Amino acid sequence: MNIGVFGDSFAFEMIHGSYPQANNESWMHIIRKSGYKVKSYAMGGTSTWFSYKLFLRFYHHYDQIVFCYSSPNRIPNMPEGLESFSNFHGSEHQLNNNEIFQRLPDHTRNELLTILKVQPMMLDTQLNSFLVQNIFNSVNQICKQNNKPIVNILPFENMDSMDYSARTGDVFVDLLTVSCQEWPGLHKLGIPDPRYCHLSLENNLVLSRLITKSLESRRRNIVDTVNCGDFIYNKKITKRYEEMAYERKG
Amino acid sequence: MFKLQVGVFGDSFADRVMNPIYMHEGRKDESWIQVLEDSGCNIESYGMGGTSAWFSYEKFLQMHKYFNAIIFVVSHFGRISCMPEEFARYSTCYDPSTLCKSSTFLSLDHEKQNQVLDLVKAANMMKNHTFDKFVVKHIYDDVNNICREKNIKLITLLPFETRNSMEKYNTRNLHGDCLFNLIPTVYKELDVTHSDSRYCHLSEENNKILGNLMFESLNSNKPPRLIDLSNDVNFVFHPSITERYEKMRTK
Repeated sequence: MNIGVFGDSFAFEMIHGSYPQANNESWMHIIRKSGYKVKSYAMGGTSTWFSYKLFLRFYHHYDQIVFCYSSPNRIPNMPEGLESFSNFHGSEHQLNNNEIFQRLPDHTRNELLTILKVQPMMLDTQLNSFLVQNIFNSVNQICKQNNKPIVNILPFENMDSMDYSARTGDVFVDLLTVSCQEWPGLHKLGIPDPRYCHLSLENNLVLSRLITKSLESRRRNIVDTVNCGDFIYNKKITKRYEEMAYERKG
Repeated sequence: MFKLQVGVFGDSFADRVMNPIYMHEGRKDESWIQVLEDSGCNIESYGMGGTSAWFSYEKFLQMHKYFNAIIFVVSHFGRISCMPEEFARYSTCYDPSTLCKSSTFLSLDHEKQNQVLDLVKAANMMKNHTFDKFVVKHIYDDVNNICREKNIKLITLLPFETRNSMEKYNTRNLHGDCLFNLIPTVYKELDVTHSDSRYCHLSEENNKILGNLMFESLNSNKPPRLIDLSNDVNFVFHPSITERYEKMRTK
């Protein structure tokens, strides 16, 4: 089976450049090891619109789809090449230290600075939620029309925050809370997450099992990942990633 | 008698506030909205010139429940959807040099002028027609669906769409009459690029024709129609009408 994956950092197979030694622990890599072909078009920091554009372009190459919807607190239509900054709320200092920013040509940097200057004024959560809802409906409809099983992952949504009635496959909500419960202190460190897809290896394994089971069964359930009882919370696991982070922080 | 409570949403095609530079003593409201009011409808208009379809949709979501009929004017898809409400009337992607000459822009204080210029500059960089069309298409669908669910009469007016460009909308799912392609009439009557001395971009005569068509539509029980305003409606064109509005502009 050939799986196409679309989304943001929750479906991104690369880890932040500061952690170059880490093995690929992503749920996509785990699925691949169990015999599936998996291709991910995801990129960290991007919007749902970014993923939708790629989905429209490439979905027909795949038998099965995993679509990961981003937070509505992102700028949806960033210009080409700047999509991974949809969620950038950092300082100028952080921006200057950003590896992607450093590689940009001068005129593109200036373009980004112009957008970031007005980003707080332009951010319209209601518009973005409207987009996520309509993209969700469209993606599920297209998969149904083309007989492609789909798994919807909505890390930033809960059971009631959206209308999931157009779903044609399982819906997994609130993965962000799972990620935060696994490592509650990460945000205080102010450094990038060393975990692949914001989950430990153990929980990437859990997620990979949930996804493959869902694609095989073609169910249409709405699963609250926080209360489903599958994910593991263990201080030893968290410590492993904390050490990685402290090492980086020096 | 049952009275229609009509909520009007949209851009300059639904804005009955005339630019003060074209107001003169005795000039009355010539808009189609006034025509509907004169026909006995109670009207509340939330239309504002230069705004996007998203601005109108947000107002519609807040206010539609107070009305038993809605007229929803869909702005040109290329406008900036994410403009802060304070600056909503600048949602047309102006080139900054044109924007700087507009009277509404000049009335802002220096700090706000800079904010608008920064917003317009950023929005121009983010301009994406596929994205804009997606937003407008789903607004159109939602307005039809919400009015159907709540049994609210509906007219949608899409001045900027031609028969070909209407293809992006789901016109099989209409809840009320859908009027489109008004722009050829606007320009045939008076060739304006920036500033228009007419109410809702139409002469008094053509506002009357449009207003009467809308009144008839709101009071009809016939199945919803798709009406091409450039073909299916007999608007009037006469040099003396054009001259009347030209004169106001040159004054």
